[in-house]
Amino acid sequence: MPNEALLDPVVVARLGNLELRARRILDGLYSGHHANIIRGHSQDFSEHRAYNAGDDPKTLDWKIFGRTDRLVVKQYEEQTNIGAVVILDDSASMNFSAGGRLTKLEYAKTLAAALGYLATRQGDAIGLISRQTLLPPASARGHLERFFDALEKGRAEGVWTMSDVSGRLGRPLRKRGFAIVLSDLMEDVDTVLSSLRSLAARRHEVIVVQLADPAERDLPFDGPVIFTDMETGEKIETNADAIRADYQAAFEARRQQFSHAFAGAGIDHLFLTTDTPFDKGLGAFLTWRAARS
Amino acid sequence: MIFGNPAFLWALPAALLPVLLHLFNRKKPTVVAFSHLALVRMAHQQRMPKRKLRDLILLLLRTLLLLLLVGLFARPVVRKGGILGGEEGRTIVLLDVSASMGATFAGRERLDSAREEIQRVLRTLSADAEIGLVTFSDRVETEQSPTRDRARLIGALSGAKVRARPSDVLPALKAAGAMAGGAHPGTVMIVSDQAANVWRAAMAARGNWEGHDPRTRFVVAEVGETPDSRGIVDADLNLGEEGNLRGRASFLGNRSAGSAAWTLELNGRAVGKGETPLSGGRTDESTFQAQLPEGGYFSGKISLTPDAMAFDDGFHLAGRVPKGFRVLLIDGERGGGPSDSEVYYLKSALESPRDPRIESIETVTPDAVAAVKLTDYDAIVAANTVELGGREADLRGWLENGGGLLLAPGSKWPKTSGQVLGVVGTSGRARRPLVAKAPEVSSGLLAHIAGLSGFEWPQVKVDEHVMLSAGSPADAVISLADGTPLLIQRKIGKGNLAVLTTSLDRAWTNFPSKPAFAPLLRELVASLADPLREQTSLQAFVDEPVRLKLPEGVRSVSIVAPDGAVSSAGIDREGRLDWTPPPVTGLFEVRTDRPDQWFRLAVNMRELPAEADTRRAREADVREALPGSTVQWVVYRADSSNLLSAVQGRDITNALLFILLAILLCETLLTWRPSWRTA
Repeated sequence: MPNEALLDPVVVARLGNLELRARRILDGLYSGHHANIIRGHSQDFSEHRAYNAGDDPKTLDWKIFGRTDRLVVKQYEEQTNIGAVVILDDSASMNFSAGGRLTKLEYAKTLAAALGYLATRQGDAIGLISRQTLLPPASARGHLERFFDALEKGRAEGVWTMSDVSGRLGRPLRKRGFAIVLSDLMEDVDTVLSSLRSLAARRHEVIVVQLADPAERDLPFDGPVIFTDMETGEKIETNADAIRADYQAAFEARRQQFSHAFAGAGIDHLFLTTDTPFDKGLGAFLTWRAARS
Repeated sequence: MIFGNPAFLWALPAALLPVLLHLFNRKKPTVVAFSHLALVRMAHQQRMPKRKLRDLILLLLRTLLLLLLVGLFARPVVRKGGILGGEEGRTIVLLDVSASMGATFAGRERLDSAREEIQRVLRTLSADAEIGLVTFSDRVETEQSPTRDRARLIGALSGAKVRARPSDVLPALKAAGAMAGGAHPGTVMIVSDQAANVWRAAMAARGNWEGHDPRTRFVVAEVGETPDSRGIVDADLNLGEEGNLRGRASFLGNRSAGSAAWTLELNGRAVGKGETPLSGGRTDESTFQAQLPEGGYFSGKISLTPDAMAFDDGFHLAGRVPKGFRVLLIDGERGGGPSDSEVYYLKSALESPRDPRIESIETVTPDAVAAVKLTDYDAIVAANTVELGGREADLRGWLENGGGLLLAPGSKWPKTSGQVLGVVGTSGRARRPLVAKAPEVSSGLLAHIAGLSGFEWPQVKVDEHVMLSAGSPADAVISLADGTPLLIQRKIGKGNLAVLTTSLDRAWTNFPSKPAFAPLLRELVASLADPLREQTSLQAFVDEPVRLKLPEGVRSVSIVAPDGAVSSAGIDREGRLDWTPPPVTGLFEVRTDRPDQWFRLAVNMRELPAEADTRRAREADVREALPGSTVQWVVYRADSSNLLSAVQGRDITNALLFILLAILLCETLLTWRPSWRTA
């Protein structure tokens, strides 16, 4: 089992750069998971490749093992030449954190780095799209450094809409691929859904990881509070104790609304809070992905 | 609106406490940069208007709560509808000072509670109001005419004391009627324990008394609680046939059954104790006995364990023990055997059993009287004796000097008119069958004889009797059916003469064989031997004149009250004590100028059973006793102000209390956050 304390988001964040963070996370993850972020659905055999730790044992070619004593896995048409793009929400709201936790953006960047590292190790291409960045997917070794670099440079500011970003996805992801959205989804459900539907319509597989700070879910503030909108600067003075129950109910309703809407559109949806240890968060993502395949 | 405790109004600013607390506890809002306000705005718009409204309501409720609390302590009274609210006419306060008003609760006398509340009422009434005061027991004790002088009124009120008398409001109602006068009948406020006996006479009269005006408004205030008391309501103690003192006491246990433990103290010593079962609400009797105390007099008290009502916790007893009588029987016809003797039945009555009062009984024939020293005897019975060998004059002299003589006829008595022994004249003898007539047994000689009231007097048959030539019918103690005296008693000089008009044996009558004969003769002889016999029981009642025959030779008398106060008393022409006890119970010492004849007199309350009965008058009965009048019934306890509010207006304390409870309920509902509401 991984050392949970070492994979605590706050502990991981102390590591200098995203690459180190990604390695730490994946080192911990491998001891408990067989990870494969991208897996196709085609039954057309393409080629063999050497077995890597984390590969699903079901993909081992036992005949070749019997003849040559080498462990190789079978790859299919869909599993080769497939790109994945991380769509990163870098709006101002992603800069929110409470209680000394990582901001949602930091959490998202770390999660994206781990995904990128994992994808690259498996020979898959990874790309990044944010309001400020457009990095087409590639699997070359130097690409991963650019990927990390782009993530490092990302800053949370301004307003971000899914439609702005999803429109830019066409060029980097010309063929069928994966779009992994890391966002707090502080937008209207219909707007988000219509943007992601257009991606799904182009036969891209869309995975939405909704991020939230626990404080956004629980509203743990006391008494009178002036809330300032991080994106618009709007202010509301209210009593946190008084509205907490209603807020929590509304938050949960909104999450359910997203969940149902995405399910209806064939879009995968995962909700994570920034206090979730990365291995658990990523592990949950991978386990859940495996179940969906 | 007025306030019973206006001092509490100083606490009114406390009602601002919730507002001040709200202001002082108001937190400065924390500024939080939040990711997105859509959900916050939604929750805010959904919850905060209700929350603000709830907070405002809570603030108002809590402020109101404090206002009401202050109001409750200040006891607000709305004048409208009050008995005295703006009405004209005098107010007469009738204050019960009967014995039961001396009951104590938590160490405080009921009269004190009543007095204090009346004083508070007086202080709050208009200065122009004329107020009168009548204190009453079963009579009017004191009166204060209607006046505006509050100091005088309060002085009169302060002087009211509990009297050892029963209670009856009727005389006070009459006095109030006389005081009210004028065009406006006014208000009568009756402050009492409102025991049933207070209203008994008034209920019987139903407004038919002088001065009653149906327009009069009445406030009937019941003061104090009903105690669970036990009392002694009657007792007596007399010389018994066995030669000791035999007594009887009546106990009354209110409310519940149980038992009453009593002690008997005589002449300063505890001489008996016992426990009597009580049936509760009824009178229970118990008998007791005690050895004869030394000396001729005894006095003491039978007592119960003290309770809230002290006046019936003890009954005083005093009496005189007549004893040492010497009796001479003159047997005019001895006959052949003992039972043929004229005095056989009399001797049997005195000796079987021996009357403890009698020291000696000597029987002689008329001839032997010559050798007898008459002054050695206290009583002489001359049966069928018409002459004494020349000593008739001596007999008369002895009689006039205070002797007691009983004459009984027989065959030797003259058949025609003549004198017998020089003391009584006869007009002959009558021979016809007659029966005795039931005599009055409630007083005089016969009152001392137990069991006479149930005796069938017509059983006594008289075949022959003598007719006395002179004598008043009033002398007759017992008569025959045709009115002929059977037994007479009269004074001769200082002495007492009794004459039985038929024989002492069974020659002329069957009386000696009847059960009433023996006790009658015993008492008759005792009364002749002892001129004070009728007052062996030295009992008196408060405020009732005492007429006690004093021993011979007493010239002056003084009375020492239980508290040691000495007062003089008179002696009437017949040598009787002429004194009226004050309304205080206890043992009063009668000191004469003959120190060997000092004695104590027990003074108790009359009508104790009624006064000791704590059952309350019913409101409906009281209303019937005051027909046509407005009657407001008020139950006043030491910790309430019902009387004040009843007099001055409508007490809204209960209404305030109800509102306060409603507010508390609302406050609880508004602040209650059960799990199902927070979920």
